Amino acid sequence: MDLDDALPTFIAESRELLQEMEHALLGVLTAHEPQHAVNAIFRAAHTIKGSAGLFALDEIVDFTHVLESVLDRVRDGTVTLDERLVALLLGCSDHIGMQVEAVASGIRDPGTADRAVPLLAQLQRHLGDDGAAPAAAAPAPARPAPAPTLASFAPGECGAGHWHLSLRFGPDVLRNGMDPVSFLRYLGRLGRVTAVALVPGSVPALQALDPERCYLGLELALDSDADQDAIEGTFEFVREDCAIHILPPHSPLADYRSLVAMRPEPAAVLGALLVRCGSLDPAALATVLTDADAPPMPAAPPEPVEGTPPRQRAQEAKAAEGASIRVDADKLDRLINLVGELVTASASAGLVARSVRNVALQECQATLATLVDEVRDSALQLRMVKIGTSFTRFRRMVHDVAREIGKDIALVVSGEDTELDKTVIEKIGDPLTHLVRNAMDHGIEPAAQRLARDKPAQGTVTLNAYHDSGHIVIEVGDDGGGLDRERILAKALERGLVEPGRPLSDSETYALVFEPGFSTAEQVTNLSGRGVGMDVVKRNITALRGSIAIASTPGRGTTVTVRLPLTLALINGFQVGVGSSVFVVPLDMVDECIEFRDDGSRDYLDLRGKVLPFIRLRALFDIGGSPPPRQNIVIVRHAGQQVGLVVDTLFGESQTVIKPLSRLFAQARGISGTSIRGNGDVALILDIPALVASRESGSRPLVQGSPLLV
Amino acid sequence: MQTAPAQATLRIEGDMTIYRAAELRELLVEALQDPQPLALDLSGVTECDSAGLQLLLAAHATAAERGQPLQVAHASAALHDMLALFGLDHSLTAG
Repeated sequence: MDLDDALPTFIAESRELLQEMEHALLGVLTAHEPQHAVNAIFRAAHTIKGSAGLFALDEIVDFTHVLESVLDRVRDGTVTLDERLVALLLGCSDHIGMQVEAVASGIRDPGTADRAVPLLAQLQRHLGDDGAAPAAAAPAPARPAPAPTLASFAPGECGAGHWHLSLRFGPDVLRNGMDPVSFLRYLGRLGRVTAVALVPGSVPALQALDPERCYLGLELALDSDADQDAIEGTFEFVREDCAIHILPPHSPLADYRSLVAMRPEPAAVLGALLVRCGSLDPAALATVLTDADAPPMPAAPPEPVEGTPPRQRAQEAKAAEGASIRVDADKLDRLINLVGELVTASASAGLVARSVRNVALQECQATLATLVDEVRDSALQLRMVKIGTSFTRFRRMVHDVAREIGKDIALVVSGEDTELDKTVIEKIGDPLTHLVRNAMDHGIEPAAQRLARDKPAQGTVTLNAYHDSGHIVIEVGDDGGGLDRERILAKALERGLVEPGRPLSDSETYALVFEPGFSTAEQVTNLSGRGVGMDVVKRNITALRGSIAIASTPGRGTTVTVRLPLTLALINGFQVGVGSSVFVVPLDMVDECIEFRDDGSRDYLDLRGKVLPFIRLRALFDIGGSPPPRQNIVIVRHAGQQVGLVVDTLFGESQTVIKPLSRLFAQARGISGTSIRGNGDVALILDIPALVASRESGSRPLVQGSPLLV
Repeated sequence: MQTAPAQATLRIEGDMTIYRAAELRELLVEALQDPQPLALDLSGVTECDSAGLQLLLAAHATAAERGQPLQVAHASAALHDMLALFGLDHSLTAG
């Protein structure tokens, strides 16, 4: 294996593991079965350490090693998890994250090591404080001194190179095609195996024997000049399944003691094996065994002790692995682009097939088109990921920010399984962070004020996601004080954003906070803070062809609703014509089409008893020519609002590959993109949210002058 | 498999590996049903892996439970290697 090639995998995996670790840490205090979370945390630290060792990333190995030792104690119950320890462990997870990022960027930040020192010191305290002795003389963090009473070292018959290996093979090792024999043989290449002792009684009688299960446990002594990495590396492929402990030459007796304590076999039995291997002499064994019952000594992290994955952990790991493969995002993007081209090509083939009136050809083309649709759907599905992972990071943020600003705030997440395009997920992270942060800073009131309002002292921020007509809707809500309508209006008047005396609906008023420059202002009220950067949020969301809305009930809370298209690449379009121009309406937004006779007198009609406002696209985009006597209205829906679009002709459904507008047209409102039709013409994709909004807020012209869009 | 009156001998030939482990277990269980001392003739074993070794250990454990003498009378070179690797060459074989 070429290690350089594998490094990106290590980095990606570590990031994922760290995320898992963080997730587990945030949930562990409230979990039903905290043991699962603790195991997950341990597993993450352990795996990162193991992989880092492969790449000789000593800094990470050293740090995770201490962390792992603490986690080990958490697992066996000698250290209890409380809020402070969780905060410390979160800090450690961040630190490993920084170390990993340093590896990823190839830039070594000398400050990173300094940052590790206080963390290590705190970790050491947890390693030390479970015995009688207080951690008065806190050991130097990185290189702890050996324990005082067990300070003597294992004798090791063979001098410098006497390693002791304690191996317990997992039950599935044989079924997985591994054989303990091969490890023994391989060790023979690293040095000389001076003694092997099978753990007695580990293999059951024939009647109880599962012939394909591995029962073997070995203690063995290896005389070798190899380094720890090389010896550990032998077991690389079974590390997950097996409990492997490697004690280097001259390990302190304390390490043997922790080895004995850790194994299920009776101490005397195991002790005898250690003596048989020549790793301990009888006198040393006596010291180990007498001390075995005493509490662990302070400041003696079992330094050379390799992880001890219990069987349960190995199984969990297997379940978590799942059947998935890692693919470069670039490759996927290329596939999606090709599929986009394929869709366009298939559309033009369809046009040609129809024009030559060859039935057989049309049939073939129809089959082909169906397949192309399926390919497109599956290709897009590849990029769909659950939004849950990006919600996870908010747990952490809420946890940290709540501590920082001294409020008690819980995050309630729902709809984590809602899927959307990975490229969209990547881009909404920042805006969402902003919204959540705002909700915490300015939405949730201080505890005293909450209690005065008969609300629970703990504030709640909610994140919710669901699908709605081809869009994903993400809601960020809080149960705080809500927006202050009057203050917003006053502010807007002061900034000249609204004309005095003009009546505004609630939603129009609240939407003002998204106006640029609404709140560049002083932090006087919780309102002024609300606006900080909201215009940036809105701009980011709009750039994704999304929309954002805000709803608020005074005293009850505020909900910001973000709507985003599921994908940025392709839509199911509905083509309509006005004069010689062709427009595309995203099909998901089309409710129905009706025939329309225009008498030119009004801008609304009676749709089964409801008032339906409509927009004349010909007028809107200043398209020349006169309308035909029979026009059509396409009724579109967005965020619960219906609007009619008056068009000349209906062309019907088509697959539409979205080409973004060039920057030249960035100011053109009402258009969100372009698309190439089968015959090579350009069709403009209508920005329905903007059209609906323009209808709502009255008469703002969409295009100023603008002969560009004819 | 051939049996002599005073002492039964079970001869195993070919591979003692995970592929035949289930079959060999049956064979051993059957051979040990007779209460007389059992000798294993393993001179025809061509290959042995950890699963094979476990079978021998299990047979040993079963016989010990019942106080029934069991020993490996003959071992092929392949098997001997294997036993030596695990430090068992003296405890399982005769002499």
